[in-house]
Amino acid sequence: MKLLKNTWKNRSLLVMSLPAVILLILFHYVPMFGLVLAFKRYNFSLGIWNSPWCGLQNFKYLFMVGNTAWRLTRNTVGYFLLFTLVNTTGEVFLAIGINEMVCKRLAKYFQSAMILPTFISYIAVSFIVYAFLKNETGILNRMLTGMGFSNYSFYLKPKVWPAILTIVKAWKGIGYGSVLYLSVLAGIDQELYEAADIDGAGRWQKIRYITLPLLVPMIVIMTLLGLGNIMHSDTGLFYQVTKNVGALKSTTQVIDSYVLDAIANSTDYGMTAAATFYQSIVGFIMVIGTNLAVRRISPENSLF
Amino acid sequence: MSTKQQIATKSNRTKMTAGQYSLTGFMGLYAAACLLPILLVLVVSFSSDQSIQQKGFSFFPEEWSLKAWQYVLGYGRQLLVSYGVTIWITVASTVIGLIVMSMFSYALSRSCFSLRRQLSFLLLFTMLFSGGQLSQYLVETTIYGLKDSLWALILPGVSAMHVIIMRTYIQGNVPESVIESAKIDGAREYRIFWQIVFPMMKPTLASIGFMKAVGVWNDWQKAYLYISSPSKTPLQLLLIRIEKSIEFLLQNSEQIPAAEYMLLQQNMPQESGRMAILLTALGPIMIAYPFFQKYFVKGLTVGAVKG
Repeated sequence: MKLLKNTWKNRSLLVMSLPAVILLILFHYVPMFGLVLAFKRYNFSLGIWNSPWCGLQNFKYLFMVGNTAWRLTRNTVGYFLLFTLVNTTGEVFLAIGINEMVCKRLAKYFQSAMILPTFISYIAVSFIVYAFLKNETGILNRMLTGMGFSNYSFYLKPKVWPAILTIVKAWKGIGYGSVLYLSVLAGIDQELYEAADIDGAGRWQKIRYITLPLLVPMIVIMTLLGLGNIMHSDTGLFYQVTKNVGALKSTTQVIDSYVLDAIANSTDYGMTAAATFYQSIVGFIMVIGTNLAVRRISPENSLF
Repeated sequence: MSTKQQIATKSNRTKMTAGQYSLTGFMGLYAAACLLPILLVLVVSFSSDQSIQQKGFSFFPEEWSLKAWQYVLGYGRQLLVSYGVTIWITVASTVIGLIVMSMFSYALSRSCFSLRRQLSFLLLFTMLFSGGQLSQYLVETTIYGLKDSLWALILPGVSAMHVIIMRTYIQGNVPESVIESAKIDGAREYRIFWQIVFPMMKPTLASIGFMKAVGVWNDWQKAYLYISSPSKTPLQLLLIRIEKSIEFLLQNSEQIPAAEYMLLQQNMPQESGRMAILLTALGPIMIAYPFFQKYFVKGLTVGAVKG
């Protein structure tokens, strides 16, 4: 009753919230109910709600037949861990490097260049990667044949793609990611360094004993918050950069690109729905878990 | 004491220079590595296709050529249409998104508004759980009828993260007393928001707006799934289509009569032509980026401090 009264008094604020609430309901909440599709046999003419139920059959296909579920999970989680490790390390290195540079003007220019790849679409990235890896005329293959090796068909060799994708991801994300750590470095009390100077600490010692320990909380928080997204991947990276080539799917297909592929080709919605259900549930557990962890370390950084 | 200290800092500085040089060199190399691939696109778009065929992709082509750009001009109509579509969806989605989200964030920032707890939960829950790509696609196409509609690319515009960043910004930068005194002067919430709070949100609106605009400009996935008619094809989808049709032609080259194939090949963008089209799609972002850099660096930091 009190709530109703307060809401009526602040009805203008409610009106201002309405457009956002409507969009949230239409595009976030209604699709949540679409997940029931995981337990149904989808029929195009009957639609989502009227298609017949089929119990756990879709999950049976996904988890029991072949190794689809295992492959998708391994790739999704594996790439996530690999990218987190490489990018976080790179971001911290870069932030410290930019921070230590004496010529601040130059550092600004360098930083602008490093952030730029973040804003390039994955379509463009896939064109660029292709120019490097293409058979015969690609830059890398030119270099290989120039050094006397034979041409390497990158787009047929699944083994090398974890490395390629890691490099692309690092190139695209490290510069931008370092901005956050740089802001932490800017907030460090300079007196700490002055005190270390008086004690005769060198540059490396200052980095090792002052800078790095002060960065650790942010590293931990960012990693934990990132873990909430463990089941989601950059679809552009896995779908466009690999050109969605069949030969590469064993090491490059993740849940998101699998689902996209299925929608684009309108195949087997049942198994796909089961995969998205699995993705949503595991993602939910991960977000809740990591947020509880973050709240214990640093309450002001947790989502709830 | 002071001379001793001077000597100490001086020796420190001379020792530093060697380290500084290598550090600067290393950072410079990395910065160059970030730029070079983009430079490659530019160089290839000005290379002649024969030199690409013979020497491969290179930063130093044997022969320069403007043919790719003539090709882009000749491609004309569809490219222009796609440019228009991309600009329209980017502007519409960014403007609608910013207005909707800033109003919402203002309401959530007002402590006198009791319902804000429930509304915050409604917002935050979308970060925890989602219906996933497939059900989103099916709901939007079969129930809302957004298949082949540009509204599918424009509308879904409420990001919980962005609303939280805006709300935090309002709480930190718009003093409660300003709002209270405006209220005493008789201003209603709408006026307070549009005339006082909204203008004060400029930095965060610029950073989030830029992020959102880049996101829409670069998005290919939604268009790839929803859009089928050429008149609604945005730039990124056009690039995919061009790539796909080339692959199709190359794979089926034996089935197409030789004379016709020759003709098709002449009209088909070669490597340089593709890079030139790519550059027209990248261009606006590269031009806008320097102007927004200070905003999004600041905006990102504000958001990270309190989620």
